[in-house]
Amino acid sequence: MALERKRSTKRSGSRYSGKKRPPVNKCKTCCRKFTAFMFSHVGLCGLVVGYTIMGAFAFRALEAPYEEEKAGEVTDMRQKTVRRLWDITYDLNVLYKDNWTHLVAAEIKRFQSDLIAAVKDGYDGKELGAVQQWSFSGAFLYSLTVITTIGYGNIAPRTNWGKLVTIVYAIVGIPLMLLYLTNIGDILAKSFRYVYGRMCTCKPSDPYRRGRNVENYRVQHVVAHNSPGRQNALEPGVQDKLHVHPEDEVRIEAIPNELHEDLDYQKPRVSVPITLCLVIMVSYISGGAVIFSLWEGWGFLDGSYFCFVTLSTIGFGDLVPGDSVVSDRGSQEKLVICSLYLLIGMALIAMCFNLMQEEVINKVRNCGRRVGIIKDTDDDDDLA
Amino acid sequence: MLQDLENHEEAARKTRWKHCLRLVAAYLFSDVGVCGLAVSYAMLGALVFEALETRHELAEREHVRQHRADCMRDLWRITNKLNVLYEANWTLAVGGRLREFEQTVVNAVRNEGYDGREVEALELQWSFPGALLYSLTVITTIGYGNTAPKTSLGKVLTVLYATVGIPLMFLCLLNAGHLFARIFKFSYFHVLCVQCRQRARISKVREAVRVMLYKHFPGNSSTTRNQQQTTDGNLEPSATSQQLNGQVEQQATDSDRLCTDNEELGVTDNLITSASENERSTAAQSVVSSRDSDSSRHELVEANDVVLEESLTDSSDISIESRLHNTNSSSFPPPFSDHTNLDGTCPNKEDNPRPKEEERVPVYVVMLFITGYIFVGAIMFSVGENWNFIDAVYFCLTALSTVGFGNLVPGSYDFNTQSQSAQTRLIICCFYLIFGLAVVLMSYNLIQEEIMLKFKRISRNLKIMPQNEKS
Repeated sequence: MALERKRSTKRSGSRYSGKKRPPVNKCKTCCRKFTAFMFSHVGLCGLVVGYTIMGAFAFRALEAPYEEEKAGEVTDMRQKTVRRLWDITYDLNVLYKDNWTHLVAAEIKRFQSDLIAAVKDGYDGKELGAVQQWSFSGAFLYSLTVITTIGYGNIAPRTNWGKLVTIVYAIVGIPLMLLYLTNIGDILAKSFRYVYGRMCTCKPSDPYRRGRNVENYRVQHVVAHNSPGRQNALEPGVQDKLHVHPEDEVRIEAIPNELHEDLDYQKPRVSVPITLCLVIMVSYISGGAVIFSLWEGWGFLDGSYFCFVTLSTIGFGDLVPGDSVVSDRGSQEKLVICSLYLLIGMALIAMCFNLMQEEVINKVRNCGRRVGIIKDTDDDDDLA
Repeated sequence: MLQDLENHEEAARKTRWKHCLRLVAAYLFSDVGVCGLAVSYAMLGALVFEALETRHELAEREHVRQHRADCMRDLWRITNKLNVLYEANWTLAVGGRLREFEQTVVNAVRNEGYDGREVEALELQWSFPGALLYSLTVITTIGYGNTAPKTSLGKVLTVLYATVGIPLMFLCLLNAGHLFARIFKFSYFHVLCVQCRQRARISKVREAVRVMLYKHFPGNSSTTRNQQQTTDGNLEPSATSQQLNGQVEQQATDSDRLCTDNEELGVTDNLITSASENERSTAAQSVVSSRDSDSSRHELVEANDVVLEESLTDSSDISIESRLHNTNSSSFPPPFSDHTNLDGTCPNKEDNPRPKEEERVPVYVVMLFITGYIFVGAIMFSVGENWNFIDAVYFCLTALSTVGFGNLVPGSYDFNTQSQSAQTRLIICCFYLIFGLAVVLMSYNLIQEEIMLKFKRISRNLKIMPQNEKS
């Protein structure tokens, strides 16, 4: 009793000191909450976008001059070849086809090899003065492919400085991107669960939920056996024997001691079915495939191949929108839309992984238990 | 009766089969099994893709040759048509035709995967090593793209292959990283850093002692010190403690005899009895008396804990510190010694109550290792591929971070040198990638705790300061 009295005076004391300067305190709490929020959600998003933009500027400044140089070189090469061909033709007074062809073939072959070397060095076939690879949107897409580790490679740094900056940029940017993705995945997963939960309350006769309920009914049954009247019935040992997953523990505590067949499980944790997540991912890929194949004239197969390769961060770079050999109008917009598709797609995938991982782990565990691989205690091989 | 026997045999056979299958499945999904699975998956992919894409590659070589022949035919036609050759006219026409040829070649290289080799060349992009590198780049999500499938079937298969392969490879690399981490820790603590091991042990003893002092006797430190200084037996234990110090130091370097030693037990007995002159030692005595002759380490540990509590004052008291060092080091063998169970009374790592901070390799060591690996790879590739050093470093970093641009790939066809040993270079590249990715995951394994701690500390600092102002 004495203790309680002491506590109450302490509380009133703090309240009293609080009343003295509320506005300053409120301001500080507000500021702190705001900075925390900025650093966690919106701020991270903005940080990633800002970092990408900064990278775009840097790479553009480093690589665009070299690209112009390169394009000029190929044009020079071509003209030199033409001149040499003219010399060959002019030198031969009488034009025998075989002779001439033989000499010209060697020239053309050399031209081809030099051309292929130039292409591998970044030349993309566009005329000098046409829209460049290292425009702002191109550099933006490039920065994005670096920090998401997609790494197309159709645009890649050729200067030494560009390569060094890429290395440093990647070392800082990849963890940043991972942070962003985990954060965004978290938020999206939470909101998706919330929406899904709300939608689910409208349909109580969902077959999936009934399936879940049966499982929980089984667990419940054991609880009822062990604890007719006690509140904190299960000792840790008993819980282990039940192979209870941490989520299951929550469910057990939330169950009152009566047996219900159709309880409302929204409060502890809504688990979204795996099929729904897969459907989301597949539809996003297909949607992107449709859009890109229409724009670029690829087939649907090529479009979905591109989308899959992009979103799995493999990123071959053999197919990239806005990067066709003939310079296109509107390629800049295509690059921007490709970047947006990338960002949103990766966030969606992070969300789906977040939603799916519990279910997948549960299923794998159940499967393993049923087959007999997994025993009661996993990770027996961590002991020295 | 006979039928019963038969049924019984049937049932026994079935259970044996099931047991066999279960063992096989368990082995497949164990650590080694997953790694083996991933490797064989990569090889299977290599075979499949090689079969699918070789034809297209050869066809593309043929196409480029055809284009070249067409170009020359057109050039001849241009030259032949004009009876009088005016340079300007002819140059214009030829230039135009060359530009067309250039476009087709660029298209072949960028879109159809033509690598510049002639029709007669024996080596293929989609040879087995090349296809193996391709499979690896798919399932590790590096994705170079210099070798990429051009047939529709190849693309569909790539998508399916990746869907299964990426998680599989990820698991395999996790296991490999875990294994490498254990090897690294072991070699670091046993081979590389003998000094820091001893230093760490001493400092941890001080830490633990300090913690226990403040936990059990928050305000009584001064009284115990007075009592200690008045007892006559202070000199004796310190003398024996010096002897013990020497003994234990010797034994510390010889890790074989650290576990159990009857002399150690006897000496600690002396220490305990000498500390029992303190009036708070009754608890210790009760613990000690409850020991049986071949004492379990746990009880001895508890007894020593009690001794520590009671005889401790301030950690700046050297004699007491040395005594603690002795008691601790005699009963706490280094937690990372794997020589246990000499007679079954050694504590395992898990029984050791001290935190496992000593087992964390410092971050800079891990970073040095990674940097070393990248440099070694860069040197290897710059020599083998005739790249300059920055290109090689750039390649190693982009490969190990799975960015994988693909403009620089070992084992690709180089015009200038026209080298023929692409196959061996591809295989070396595959090995480098696999081990490199395992090393990356190993380092993540080793330093993640540190990073998490630092992160938490930083975020706590960001929030702590206003709270302090409030209070």
